[in-house]
Amino acid sequence: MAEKPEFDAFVVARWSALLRTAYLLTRDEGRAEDLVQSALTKLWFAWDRVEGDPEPYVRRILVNTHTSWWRRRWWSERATDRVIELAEVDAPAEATMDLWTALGHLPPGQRSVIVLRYFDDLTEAQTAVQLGCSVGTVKSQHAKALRRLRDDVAMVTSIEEAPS
Amino acid sequence: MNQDLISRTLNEHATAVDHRGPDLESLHARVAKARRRRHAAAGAAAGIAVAIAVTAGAVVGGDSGPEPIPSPSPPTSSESESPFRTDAVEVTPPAGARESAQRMRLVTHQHNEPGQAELTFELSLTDTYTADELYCGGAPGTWLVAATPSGARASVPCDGRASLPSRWPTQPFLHGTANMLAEDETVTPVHLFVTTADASRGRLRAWRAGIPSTTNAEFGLVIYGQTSPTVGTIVGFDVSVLGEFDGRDWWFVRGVEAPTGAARLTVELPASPHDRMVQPVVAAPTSCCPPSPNPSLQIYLDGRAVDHRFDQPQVAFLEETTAFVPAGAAHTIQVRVTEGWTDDASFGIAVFEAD
Repeated sequence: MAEKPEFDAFVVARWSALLRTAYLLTRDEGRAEDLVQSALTKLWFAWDRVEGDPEPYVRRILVNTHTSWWRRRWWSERATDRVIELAEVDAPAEATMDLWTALGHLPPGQRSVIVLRYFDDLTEAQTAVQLGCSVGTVKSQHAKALRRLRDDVAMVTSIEEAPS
Repeated sequence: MNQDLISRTLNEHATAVDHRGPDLESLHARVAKARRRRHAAAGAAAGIAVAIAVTAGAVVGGDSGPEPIPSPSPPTSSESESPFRTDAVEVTPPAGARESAQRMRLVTHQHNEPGQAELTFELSLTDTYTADELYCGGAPGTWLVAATPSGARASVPCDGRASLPSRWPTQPFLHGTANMLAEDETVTPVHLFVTTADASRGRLRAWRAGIPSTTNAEFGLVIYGQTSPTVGTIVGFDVSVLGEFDGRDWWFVRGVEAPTGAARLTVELPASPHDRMVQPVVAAPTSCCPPSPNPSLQIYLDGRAVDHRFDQPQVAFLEETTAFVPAGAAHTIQVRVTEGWTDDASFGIAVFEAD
């Protein structure tokens, strides 16, 4: 689509980074790519209105779109309340896998906060801007996410026993 | 708490998609399609008349009070952003809307043959899909997975006896919200398969690796469709005039949108000879500006919190509890924004009544 060559250049430059974040939110390669394309499509329509770096803008679309999808998950990934069994976490590699599983059980808002804080290395203030909410909301969602991980039986083992 | 472990885990898993480069051609096609859709939606909006009335005094929204909105607003598509509202807005279906309603029909029922562990089939994208039911049984310890090319998927355990859905499924009252098939642009072909892997966790790749050569499972997918007119829009969601739930017809009679940013919405329901259901609706943000993260809602009936785990009907639609309001006396419904994203909350209710 030659009519917005700068948009195309942005896509090429930032695709991988956006896709990684999308994958951590969706936990599925196909859906991650779909999410990035959906966010970029929305960005395309707003491209001429975006001032400065478009990345924060598209990342916010990414997170909001994911939350929107999650709410319509009748035909998509379904969260589970199933408690992970302790026997499944007896080695570091498995502990990491269990943390990954537990992260997948977080609701979308909490998962977004965790991904933005611990993968994208955003501060609480930056995370609040990305999510379009207050810093206080980020703090509360962050605390709830960590508490939920802690409450998971497997997390008691894998997080507290892992070396710092 | 070792938060480094969280960072390390995220970084390790993020590399799973490093091999996927940008697909500009596909993205351009998607943009072109979205442009066509927007153009078509704009044309359709100009040709559809939707009555939006205001009931002064019946609605109290948050901190803003029951001020009426004097002029009707044009309908919006489910892709558009909800407008900023300083007051509650009431939405009513136009007269005669029920006459054009159609009932749900069976679109297709795809199922396996004895021993068959996989089934792939094409769907006609010209059909309207409003509900789907996935079923499986006869092979304890295995799962049935449904996957589409876009990555959407659903799964059910194959424990117990296989049986078709015993009753007509819940009809989603709001268009385009409960069935990803209806919106999935790359829905076809659908791949159904039995797997020995636990499909409540893990990834599609692992599930596919667990497909047995043969199975005792009996499984299938039933898809229903319905063409029922859209009679209004509530915080961006198109509302169908007719829904079916629990063997009964439910007609959309009223909608109320809370003022933008309101923390609660109170609606007085007058005495009625009809049973009613009240469905909270929260806006799904479609763009970043203005930011509108999803709030969590709690619905109260006459001051008591409704809990779908205990209250009839036991349905939580769109993650929110639907309140059943029995025929008879007047009742008060209140929807409150609870935990989560309370900034820029955009929500409302839809009221349906049974015959």
